[in-house]
Amino acid sequence: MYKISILSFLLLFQFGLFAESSLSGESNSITVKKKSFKTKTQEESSKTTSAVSNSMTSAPLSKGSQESYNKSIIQVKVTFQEPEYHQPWKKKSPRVRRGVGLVTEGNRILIPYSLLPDATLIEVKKYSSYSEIKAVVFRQDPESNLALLRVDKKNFFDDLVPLTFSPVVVFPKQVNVYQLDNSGSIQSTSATLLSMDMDQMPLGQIELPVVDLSSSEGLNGFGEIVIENGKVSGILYEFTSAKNSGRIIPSFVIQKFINTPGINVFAYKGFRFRPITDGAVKKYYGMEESDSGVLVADIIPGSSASGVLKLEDIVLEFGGKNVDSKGYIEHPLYGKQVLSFLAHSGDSFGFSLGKEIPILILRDKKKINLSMKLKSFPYEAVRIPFRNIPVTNDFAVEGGFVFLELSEVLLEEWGKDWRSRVDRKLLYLYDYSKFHEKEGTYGKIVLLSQVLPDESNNGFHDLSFKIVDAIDDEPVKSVMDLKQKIRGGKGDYSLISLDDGTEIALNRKQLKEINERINKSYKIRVQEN
Amino acid sequence: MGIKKHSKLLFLSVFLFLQTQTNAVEGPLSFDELRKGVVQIRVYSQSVNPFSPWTTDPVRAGSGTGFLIGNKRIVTNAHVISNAKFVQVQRYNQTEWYGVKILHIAHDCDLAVLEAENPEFYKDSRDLQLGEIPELNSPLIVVGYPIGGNKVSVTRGIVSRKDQSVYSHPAVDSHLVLQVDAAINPGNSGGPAIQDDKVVGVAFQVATKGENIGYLIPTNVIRHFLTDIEDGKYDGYVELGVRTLNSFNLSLRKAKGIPDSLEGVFVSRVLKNGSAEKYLKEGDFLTEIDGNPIGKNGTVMQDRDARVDFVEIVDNKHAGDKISFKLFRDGKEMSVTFPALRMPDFDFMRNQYDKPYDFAMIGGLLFQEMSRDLITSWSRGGNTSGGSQLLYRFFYFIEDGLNRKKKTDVVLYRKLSHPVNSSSDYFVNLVLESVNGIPVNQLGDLQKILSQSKEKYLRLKFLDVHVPLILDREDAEKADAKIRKTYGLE
Repeated sequence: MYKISILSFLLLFQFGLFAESSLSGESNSITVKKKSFKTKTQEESSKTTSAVSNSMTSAPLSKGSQESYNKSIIQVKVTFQEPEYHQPWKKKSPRVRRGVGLVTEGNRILIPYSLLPDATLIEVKKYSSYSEIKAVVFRQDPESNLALLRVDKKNFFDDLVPLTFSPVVVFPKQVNVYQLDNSGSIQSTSATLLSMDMDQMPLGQIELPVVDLSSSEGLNGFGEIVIENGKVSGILYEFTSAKNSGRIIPSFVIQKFINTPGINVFAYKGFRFRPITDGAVKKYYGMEESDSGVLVADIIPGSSASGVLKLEDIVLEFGGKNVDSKGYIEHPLYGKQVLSFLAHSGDSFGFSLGKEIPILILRDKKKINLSMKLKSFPYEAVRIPFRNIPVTNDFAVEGGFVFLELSEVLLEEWGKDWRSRVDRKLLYLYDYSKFHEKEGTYGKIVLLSQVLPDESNNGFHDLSFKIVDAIDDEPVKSVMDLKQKIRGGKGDYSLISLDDGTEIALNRKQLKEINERINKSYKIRVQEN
Repeated sequence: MGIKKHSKLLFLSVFLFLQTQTNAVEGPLSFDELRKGVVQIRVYSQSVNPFSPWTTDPVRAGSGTGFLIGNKRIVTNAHVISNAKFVQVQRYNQTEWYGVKILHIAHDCDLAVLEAENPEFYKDSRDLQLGEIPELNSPLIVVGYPIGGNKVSVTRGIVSRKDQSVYSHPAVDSHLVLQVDAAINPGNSGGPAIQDDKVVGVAFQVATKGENIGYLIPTNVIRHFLTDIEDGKYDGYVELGVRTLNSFNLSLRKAKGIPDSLEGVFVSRVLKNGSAEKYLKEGDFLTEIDGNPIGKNGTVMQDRDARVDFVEIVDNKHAGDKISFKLFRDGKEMSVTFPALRMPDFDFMRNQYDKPYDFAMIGGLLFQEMSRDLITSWSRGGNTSGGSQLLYRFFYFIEDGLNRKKKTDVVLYRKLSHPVNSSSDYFVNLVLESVNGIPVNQLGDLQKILSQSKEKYLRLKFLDVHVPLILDREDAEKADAKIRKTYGLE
């Protein structure tokens, strides 16, 4: 008897081997597979990871210089509260980011912009005091990841000394990184500036020069100040302890931010390119053997390049400099840099917002000289806001139907591996429809994200994450647009069509009453607009 | 102490189980007679890897069950004999294994018919009769040759549910299934479920979650298959080709002017090439199918104990059979009747078997038509980092009407590295739109262009990517000869 029961357990176990989950997840059941006489052997190559050690010698620091930096470095504490993007009438629990700021001319404190999103309270603390003083944002720029704070408390800056910036950044170079610890005493770490590259800031769209830094000691990347010969050469905005490496915003980018008035600081070239390293491609486009350049692959509507460059133009020279087959130009100070350097950070060559930048292209096998007026990033061309773009987080709850706009932050609410969890259509749109196709078109993708069940929306309770195609046969451009069309439309019912063919009818006469009932029942805080 | 108690309990439960089993074999037909109609099937199969369609996977051995239904025919599951190279059968009292021919195979409903070549096999056998769909909560036995030996095995269960469900062998087709709480195991596949001496289902799949939940293919599906092959070939299922929306919502009913008394469902989508394409419209309100009233949730009464989705009625039809609807359109009640059609558009979404994968190659770049097999092997290979274009188009090709403009997607799914394609990585896993301006709407289009083009360059334009992939045609062709040799394509 006992034997039999063991056997049945064994069978169950065996059976598990045949379990296969279907790719689409459409079915919960599997085929009863044939008995298999053969077992599959799996070869797994075990990878050995070798730890990379970075030996670094700390530069001794004289006590005098430490104390003087004390008066220039500020502790920053930002309390922030992120929205619940799936249920936008709610907010997540408040949390705190801590960072480092530096005192600049004109009694301002410079910090990385990445400390600020969704801030509810900003407090600063200086070396001489334990009290946290409220600060407010004076200027901010997601592109350079910089912000300036102002402190309204009188005499706050009296015992503080502004730091100065070095005009150029030299690398490779040993530097010191400073921050204030919780007790208010200064800490320093040695680090090495390694190289310069062009990249987007965590919350930016425009690639700007960033400098790679290496340090064997733990850093946070929350605004620590990099100092060389008494001058600031950058602020640290990113650090990965596992790799002993981080990135800084170089001093000339900081100075440009500080010295440029207005909202738009940096220009954006407005096109994306692809390398031309293949002989067949070169010949096809009529390039000569000695020519090198890159292929214009995308043009953002409304940008600097829009109306100037065309797809499949070959950029041979940019800003008067030869472009190599991967898009690099030769910078007299910083060596090989991507051509974007000239358009986005080419002040020393006379290229900045509003200025013209010359380009030599090959179009239809003819060389043409063009010039392109540098404009800032055309945010109106964005259809699915990237993380940086301050999402209005507009939503509507009408008749229990929750409407949202598709954005990167919304997708990220699916969790760390959101790309494999999110609906394939939304992922496809995110990958291929971030921008509008043409200049002058605008609008967002409006989603019906969920239904808050009520008698009035019977039959629709299971709907989730469908794209709203139209309301009363007119396309919907935003949640605001949807709200207006529901309020302003004629007829007893507003008919909302979804991308799977589903239609929803809202009874206009009863809508107010229904909304009040649902808002009360589900504790929805309605936006006033 | 504890252990003793436990074993006592165990003893009791096993005892009860055996008792009931003994009862089950009592009846007009003895089990000895019954098992004369049950067949063990031994299969050696070999599949082709869609990712490397010029190679084959290792030979695998497997086994399943079948049963005799008369005229020398053996019914089993399609998945038992899929990709089979060599199939043999044997009955419980035989020592010899007999070779069989596969007469018909229907992947979309996971059924197949075999015939043994040697008349010896049929000696002293018994044909089993097909019965009706059993009632809920009625007992049955499942007979077969599951894992753990090659003796016939019997297990008893109860019909616990009847519903439409996805058949996992094709992965997309949904037909009626019977859920039973019988222990069905690998090797049981294709075995008969017997009630009152008649076959009421074929064991074919189990639930991955939950214990002892097995599924049977009911006799309406078996009969559909047997009727289909009467003309000597299997045609497959017809598709109504509409998506519908329930009519519970009062506002929507009012807005659409549906009289309060009418039950039924809204047509929310009419699919290209479906049976309903020219006959039903989006917004139609379907109230009856073939005289059966459709409920607000889209179900019809099937037997006295089950409501099933109204498309079950269409599922039982064959190509050319008439489908009749009563519907409400533009404020009027009306009737439409139209013939049922097969919808080959769905074929690419189905798992495929026994079929070579056609591909095209230029400059080491491999192209195939999009299929579930390709997507499956592609994702198993860990190629899923990008691919959102592929995945979206696969899952929404029919749903979003992409099949209105083209037959299928041809994708650059892989490259065999060679200097000639060193700068084409960017384009892997994208859908090919055109070559030198000529649209590619199926693999044949590409093959034709590649064999006929005299152009110096091939300009391959991919979907959603503005800039094309450029190949020097002669260089690429020359490279192909080398690539075929190096990578063992021929």
